[in-house]
Amino acid sequence: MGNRLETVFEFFSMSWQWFKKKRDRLINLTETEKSLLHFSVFSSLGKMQIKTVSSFVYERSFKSNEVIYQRGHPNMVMYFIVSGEVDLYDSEDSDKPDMTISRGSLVGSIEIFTGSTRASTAVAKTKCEMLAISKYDFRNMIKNNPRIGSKVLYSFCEKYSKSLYEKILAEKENAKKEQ
Amino acid sequence: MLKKNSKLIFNIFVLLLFGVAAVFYWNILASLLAGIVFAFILNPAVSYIESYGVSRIISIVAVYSIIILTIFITMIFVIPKVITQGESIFSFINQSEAVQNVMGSTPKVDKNTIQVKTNPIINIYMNYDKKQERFVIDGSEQIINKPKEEIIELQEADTANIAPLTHSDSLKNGSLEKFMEIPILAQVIDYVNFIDDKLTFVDITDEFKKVVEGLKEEIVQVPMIVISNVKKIASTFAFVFMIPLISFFILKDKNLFSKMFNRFIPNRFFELYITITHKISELVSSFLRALLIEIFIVAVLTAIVLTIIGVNYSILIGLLAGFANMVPYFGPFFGVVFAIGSVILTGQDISMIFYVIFGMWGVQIIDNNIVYPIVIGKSTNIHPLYVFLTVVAGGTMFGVLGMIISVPVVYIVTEISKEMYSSLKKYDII
Repeated sequence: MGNRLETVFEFFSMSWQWFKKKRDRLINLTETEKSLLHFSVFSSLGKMQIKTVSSFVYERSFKSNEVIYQRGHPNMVMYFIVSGEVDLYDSEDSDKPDMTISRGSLVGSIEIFTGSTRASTAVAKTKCEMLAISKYDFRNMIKNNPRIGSKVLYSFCEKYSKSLYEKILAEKENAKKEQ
Repeated sequence: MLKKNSKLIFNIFVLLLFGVAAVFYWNILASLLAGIVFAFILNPAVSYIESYGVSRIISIVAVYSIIILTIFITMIFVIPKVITQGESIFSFINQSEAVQNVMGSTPKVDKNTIQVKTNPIINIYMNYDKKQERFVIDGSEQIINKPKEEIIELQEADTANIAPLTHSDSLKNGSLEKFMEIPILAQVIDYVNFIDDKLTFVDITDEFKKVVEGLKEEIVQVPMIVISNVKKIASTFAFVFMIPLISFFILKDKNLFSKMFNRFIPNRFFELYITITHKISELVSSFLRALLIEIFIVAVLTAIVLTIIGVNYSILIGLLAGFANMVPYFGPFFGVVFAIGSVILTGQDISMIFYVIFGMWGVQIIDNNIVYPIVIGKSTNIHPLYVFLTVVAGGTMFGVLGMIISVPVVYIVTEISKEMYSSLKKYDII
């Protein structure tokens, strides 16, 4: 009896997956939604889910040398760079950027989770097209859409674990070299 | 330079467009604002249902269904009681014979007024005797036993049926006596008679009777005002039905509207805009929700307490006290005044006033120490003088509604200004 039920459930879940694939093929995405799919944190989402995420996203464009955010200000928004390059300055009086990030990267994502103020100043190096999502909308999106939320949070974990692992490896290599 | 100029021209064009839109949509601005407020109140409930993985539209429909169901249940159980209580106040002051009689007591009215007063529909209303639940059709109190079947006949019977009645002196005097049976009026009349006896050179009683007659005429105007303002009543209904429709779309496409406004915000103020709008929406929605819950709890508690004490019209007074409670410090007094008024006007035992005061005080203790801290959370901290001035200013500007709404509105505006100031400081703008 149990086996039979399992088979029935399996059949339904397979049919649902098949239906979702067919449905996703029929859905047309806008340019913003397509560019959202290119970011690693959203790449695991289906087309319908991307549509939901895009309803929370604001499109912003910055001229070159325009300040995106300043160090010490409250952190409200996380930016996804669609095109262009962004310079990050850790201290206010330095002329040379501490880091330059480009297309496909995220700006201000760590502060979203830590809740602290901005750790650096971001200035657009070139003309930039960005997608912005506010801290409140991001939390609401995860809370109100648990399926999307679990996927996105898993991707964030994966992303930060990778960078942390790379950092640990680099530190170990440095320690070996010093020895 | 050219680019700057064209940008300026475009901005002026957008402003003009907004101006034209404001003029065009001016009449529905009130509905739009009410719709936004309604959406603010419902949004948390919709989001809560949505968090269980239900789509937004279905969550909105579910919340609407719950509200409709609640209204339906209220209509079945509570509204009839409120209406009966309201009606009995009306019929207490002004029974059907009194209504018929005023028509006879105003021989000086011109032809146009007579035409309005003898409108067949009004005649049916006026000829209905609430006590006997039958229609009285003439001065000799000839009674029709099957009112429903006779309604059409009554409609056709216009001035002919009402004519003998309008000149019946016996009925006229009878109604005045009934009117003066109201306890408070009876006491006043006794007092007037007493003074009249003492001061023989002034005829106060006659003057007083004239005043009472005038008052009665005013009361009789009520159904006529309702009928002559059918258009206004219809537009009010349209206004009421538009609100849920507007708030449905605001709830559904909340992010879409927010995105639309966002396009006009310069990059420098973008994060500030997000912070302020979020704080405002959170503040307004939580405050409005809390206020609604408080009104409901105070209304229910007051109604229960007054019912236990045995005050007449307890549910009606409970509702009024609930709404009056929106005004801090002074609101609760209105509730007490309503209840005491009911005790005096309906001629109940005067000692009941003390029970009413203690009962309402108990309700206030519960409200201030349990309901308010839980529901609203923090104190509104407005100085009593400020509240008083706001209530008076609201009253002079918008009447009774202004008196009730002015304090919450002023509170919200003050809090928003505070939040804006702190946010502007944080972003080094001021």
